Amino acid sequence: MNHVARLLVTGFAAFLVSLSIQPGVAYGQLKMAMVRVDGLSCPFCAYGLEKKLKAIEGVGEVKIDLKAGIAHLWPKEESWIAMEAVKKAVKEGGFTPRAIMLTVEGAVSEETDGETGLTKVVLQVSGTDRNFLLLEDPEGDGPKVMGHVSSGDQVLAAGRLYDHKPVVNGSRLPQGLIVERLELVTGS
Amino acid sequence: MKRWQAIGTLLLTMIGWAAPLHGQGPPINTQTAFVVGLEGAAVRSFLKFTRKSQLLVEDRETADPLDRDFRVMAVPVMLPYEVVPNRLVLIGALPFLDKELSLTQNGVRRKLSSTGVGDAALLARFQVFQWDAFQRTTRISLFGGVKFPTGEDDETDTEGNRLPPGLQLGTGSVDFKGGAVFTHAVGAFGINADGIVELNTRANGLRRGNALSYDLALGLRVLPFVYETYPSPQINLYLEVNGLLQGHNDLEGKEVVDSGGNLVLLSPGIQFIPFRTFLIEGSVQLPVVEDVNGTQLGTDLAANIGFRWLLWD
Repeated sequence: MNHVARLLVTGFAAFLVSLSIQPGVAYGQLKMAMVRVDGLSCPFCAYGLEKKLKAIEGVGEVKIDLKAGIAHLWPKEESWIAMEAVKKAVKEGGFTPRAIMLTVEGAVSEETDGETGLTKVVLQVSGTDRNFLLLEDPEGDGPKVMGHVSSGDQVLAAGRLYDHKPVVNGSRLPQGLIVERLELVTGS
Repeated sequence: MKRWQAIGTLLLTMIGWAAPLHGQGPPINTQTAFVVGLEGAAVRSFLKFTRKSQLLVEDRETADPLDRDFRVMAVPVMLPYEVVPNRLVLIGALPFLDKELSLTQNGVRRKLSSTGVGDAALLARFQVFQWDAFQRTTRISLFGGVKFPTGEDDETDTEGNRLPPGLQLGTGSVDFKGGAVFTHAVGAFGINADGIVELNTRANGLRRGNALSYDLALGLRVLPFVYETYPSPQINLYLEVNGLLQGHNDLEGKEVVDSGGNLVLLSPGIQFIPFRTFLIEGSVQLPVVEDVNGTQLGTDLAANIGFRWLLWD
């Protein structure tokens, strides 16, 4: 192989390696979690809530918005925040947790049930066993999911967690995420 | 009646103004039903000054032949600790007292005083009800405790005569208190109320009359106008009504005629929270109803200034 060919092969191999690393793409990440907190009417009392939330494993930063009644949580790098721990922290902090909203990035897969013919869109957090069933807002306010994303798409989805029955028609469903914002990061 | 109409108008104005605002703090002279905000431990202390110089016969002022002037400086130190998250807080309290009575006897002006540690108390607040909604909450807690006779109760004057009970640093008795506290907060506006019964035991032949303290506090955050992200420095205003209904003392089985009565204080106050773990506050307490049993010195005024500090774990 002459010198030019060797450079081309080396360069193409480096390009393939760079694709697998994908720097700058937050592949399978929790970007932010928000929990709506009821009873937040005492700023001095919010100190306890702040401390409880900051003590949760994986939590990097906490910001409490008293006016909106929302606590924002940002994870540490490459970390996940357990939502059950968030609910527990809010209760122990002296308040009542309501809706939890997540902003998460991951790969989408479409799965069609052979018996029912129903298709579900699942967002998979890469590197973990966490999946979310992407749901459209039943009141029709949010973006459409079906037909707007395809298997293999890398998407950024923001929405509120939905606790449905985990086993439906014999199949175990992942936790639901009622989508309020859906962005395509990279197409398949 | 006009005084009460003015108070009611002021309270209603505060309620109406509070609608668009968010979040206020604990009241100054009234209990709160909250048991949160105490991750770990906290300390509260204040300097309280009380003066009594006007002699009353029931609710009427009269000349005092002894020209008495009674002043008390109290510095209680309270250490609350949340032992069960959002459920139970225990409070240790210890006051430091300086009491002074000036009077004229046989044409000579005398001064009797005592200074030192008063009776310690162990108190508890237990939350029994909580209802939360967007920017509002309602809480009910039980409150109670025990006071221990750690203060000196046989202080004497320079001639070796025992000082009267009101000048002693402690009562010598173990006393008990218990009651309930209610808190309802909506945005920047908060209502706190408590009713606490005090049951006193006998010491040195004296049993102080049992008492009922009843308090109502209205709080309003005035700055910032719109509370965005926590933490943010804030200023709260309070208007409290603090009452104490006390029965007659009992000395060696006989009722002390000139003891007990009903006292209601109107207490405007201000509270500044500069950052998440610290606040300073102050209030003035003025008697609006004072109906003493028999003949006693009435309360001219009381005032306090203090702080609360949430300690790190």
